[in-house]
Amino acid sequence: MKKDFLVRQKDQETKFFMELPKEGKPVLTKGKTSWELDIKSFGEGRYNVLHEGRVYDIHLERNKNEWTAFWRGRKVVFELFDERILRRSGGVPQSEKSGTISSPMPGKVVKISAKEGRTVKSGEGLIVVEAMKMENEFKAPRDGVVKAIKVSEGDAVEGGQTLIEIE
Amino acid sequence: MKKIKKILITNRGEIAVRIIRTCREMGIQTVVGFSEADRSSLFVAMADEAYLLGKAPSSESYLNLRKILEIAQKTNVDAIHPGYGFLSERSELSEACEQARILFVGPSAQAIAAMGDKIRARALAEKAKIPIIPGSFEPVSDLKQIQKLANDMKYPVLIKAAAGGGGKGMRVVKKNEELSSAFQMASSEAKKAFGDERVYVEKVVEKPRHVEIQIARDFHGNGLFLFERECSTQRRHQKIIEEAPCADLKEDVRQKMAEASLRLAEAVDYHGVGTVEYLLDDKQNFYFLEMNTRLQVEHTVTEMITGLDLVRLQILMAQGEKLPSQKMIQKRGHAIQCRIYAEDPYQNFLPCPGTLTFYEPPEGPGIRHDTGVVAGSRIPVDYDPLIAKLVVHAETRELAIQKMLRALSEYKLGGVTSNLEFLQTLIASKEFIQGKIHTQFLDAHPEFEKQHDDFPFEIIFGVAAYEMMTSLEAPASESPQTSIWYGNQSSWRLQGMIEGLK
Repeated sequence: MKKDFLVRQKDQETKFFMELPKEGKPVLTKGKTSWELDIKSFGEGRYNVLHEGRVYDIHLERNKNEWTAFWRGRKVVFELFDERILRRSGGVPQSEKSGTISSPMPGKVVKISAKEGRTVKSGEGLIVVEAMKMENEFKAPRDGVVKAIKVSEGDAVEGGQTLIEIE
Repeated sequence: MKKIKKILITNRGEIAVRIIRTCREMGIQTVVGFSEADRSSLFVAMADEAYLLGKAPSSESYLNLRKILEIAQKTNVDAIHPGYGFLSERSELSEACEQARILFVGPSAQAIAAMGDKIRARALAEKAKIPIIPGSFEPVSDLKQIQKLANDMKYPVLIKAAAGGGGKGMRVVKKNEELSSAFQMASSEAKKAFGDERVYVEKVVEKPRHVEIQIARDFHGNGLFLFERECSTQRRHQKIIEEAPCADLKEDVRQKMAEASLRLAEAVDYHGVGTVEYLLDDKQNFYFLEMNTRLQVEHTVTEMITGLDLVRLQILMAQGEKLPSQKMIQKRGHAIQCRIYAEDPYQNFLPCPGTLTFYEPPEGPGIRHDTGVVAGSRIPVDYDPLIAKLVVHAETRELAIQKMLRALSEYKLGGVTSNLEFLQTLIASKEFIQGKIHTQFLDAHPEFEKQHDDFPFEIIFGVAAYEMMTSLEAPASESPQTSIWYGNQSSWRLQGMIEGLK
């Protein structure tokens, strides 16, 4: 079985294909280079991989097309699309990242720089919430248009409360 | 002397678990109060009795003195252990215990109040002939006064608002020419922020180290010096990494600090364990900062180098027993603690509460792990997002560093973002390895807050792609045994994966 894939990390896109031969180990090929991977699954996203004798212990979590991988106490996030998804969306899908910004903890809204109806870019600072004696600026998770601002400057907010919605 | 048979622990998370464990070893029954957010927490599961305090906010639960006393009376406890934070440094709890004839595992209300008031504590320290940071004792509002004080102390000096903190109304002044304008700005900022334009002047200790002394004192007037801890690895005045003993402390300085700390404990007739905090300058002159009248988060490293159980000592002292003699106390090797937080260091340390989907702390020789969570636990939004304290102990500091790096890389957790990688960067940094740390060293390294990009990407993408491809067909059985149970397990798993794809 052979499938094409596209990875998106931040703004970078990478293509590769993956083969699972009937006999032999899975192989990932990117450009002209191939990686033969001896993959052992332990269930629930836990994997042990041998590549040229080197050992990799990896844990994966998945939320639709968004993946989180843990390796040696470190974490990395990326989006992965296979050819089926690419065909269905007619290309690379728009980020499925939720356009909702919520405060992870209780605090107070100190400053709002977003405006309803305005276009924002991924990474743009939109709102500042003060909590646990520190100011935290929340940024746009992706490109879009500010659909709704649910709070005002000076409001107290609860953990998990929606602050801004982006379309 | 009153033997404690039942204790109410007025705290949560890892410290509640810590205290429960020692109580269990001592045959003491444990009672805990929990908030609505903590019903499923590990500490509740481990206690003998547990009662609801109230809703999640601390004010309605862990700071709810009235409710806590109600529970104490109802359950007929002999003692209350406050842990750290919450009510541990409010004299009201100690006072209420005294009134209710319940033993308080900690010092008297007067001692707590005396050390809780920073001005009073400084004055008491000075009286006990403990070096303090040179500065004004009373607030000043006159430029001439400040000029004289600054000249006496020598620059650099710090002008601080008398009425509040948090960095507002604070200015560092490096030379005399800057004093007047710094004073104007600090005063007006203070007036705006706190309604009081008065300021203090203090000498600035440059590149200070934060060194604290652990002491214990029983009801018989016996004091014990339990060595020091170095807590200089901090960010915005929050401790991240602590170690015992110091990487570098001259023996005569250690002795002087020990004597000073015990003198202060005697001056306030202190009972229980306590920590006296100091700033050290580059010549190892030490200056009193404050005294913490409770068990500290980092008591662990002291336990590792002494082999003592400080919670046990606390309980024995509360019962009126005598401390062991100083010559019985030895230190051995070196211990380091890392605080693992649910936060994202690469997004300005934004707290990231959530559910720990998987959790496998490291193990092996010389590893200690204090936590209040297990796999599946929620890190609630309402409290400090501490996941765990990872402590290592080895023969030397160098070996402890190697062990900590090993332990951090072995640590597996998911579902929340953590500072694990940031901690690895810190411990592996040149300054930390050389032991040349001070409280501002992180400020010089903004690059630590940028994640390294050196992941084995092809391996990771390969596994993810593999998972996508194999979840669409029945996975080959991993087990050589075939039984209906294994068969069922794979089809449940397949079903689950298919559900997850929808």
